[in-house]
Amino acid sequence: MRKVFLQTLNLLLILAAIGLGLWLVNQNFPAANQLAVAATLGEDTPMLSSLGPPLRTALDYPHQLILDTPVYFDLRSLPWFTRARVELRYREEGRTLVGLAGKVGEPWQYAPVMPLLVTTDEDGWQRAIFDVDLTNLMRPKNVRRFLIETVGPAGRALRLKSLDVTLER
Amino acid sequence: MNFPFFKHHRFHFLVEPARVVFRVSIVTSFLLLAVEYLLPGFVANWFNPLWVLLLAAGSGILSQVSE
Repeated sequence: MRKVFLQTLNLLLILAAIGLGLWLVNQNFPAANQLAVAATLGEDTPMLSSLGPPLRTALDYPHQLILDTPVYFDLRSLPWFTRARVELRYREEGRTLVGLAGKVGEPWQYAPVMPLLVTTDEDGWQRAIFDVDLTNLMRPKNVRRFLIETVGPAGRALRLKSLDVTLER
Repeated sequence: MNFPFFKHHRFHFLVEPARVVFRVSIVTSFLLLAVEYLLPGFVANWFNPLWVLLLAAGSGILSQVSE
């Protein structure tokens, strides 16, 4: 009886480990070839970091204020995702959005990306969509760094509502 | 309370299953950490593989307990 119990437990644990591996493969190779990642503003998440450096940003919950230029964020994505669609929803409060830039070299080389589309929604929030080619960017340990560039007088803010990244294979 | 299932054996409820849990979780954690080393983010984008290592450490210590 004891032996049967231990063997069953062993089998269940091995099946759980195999299931964990299959779940990970399924998560990393999505069937739709797309993976949507949403940033939690002000918090580091496993795939998307919070905006930095801290002095240039402020958290006005649930929004994030960008007070100076440039600010950065990091994206950890696996090498088979070659394109990313970055979508920013924001409101300009004296500071205007210029664009996004991806890091291509040390120490301070960035390739600028202009927005594909900037629209204003009915509720007054603006939406900028960027299409980024991830293959050119530096990726130490699969982490790519992006800058958000804005222009405006010091002390004026760009109010960020959401930052969404859709990775594509 | 009587447990007829285990009555005739000196079954240590924590110690003997802990040995099985240790065996599986230590192998799983090494595999997960190896995958994470080769492809950073494959595992850690979804959960922290150190939790499995912690489970292995906990059950490994428990499996060494004797009365």
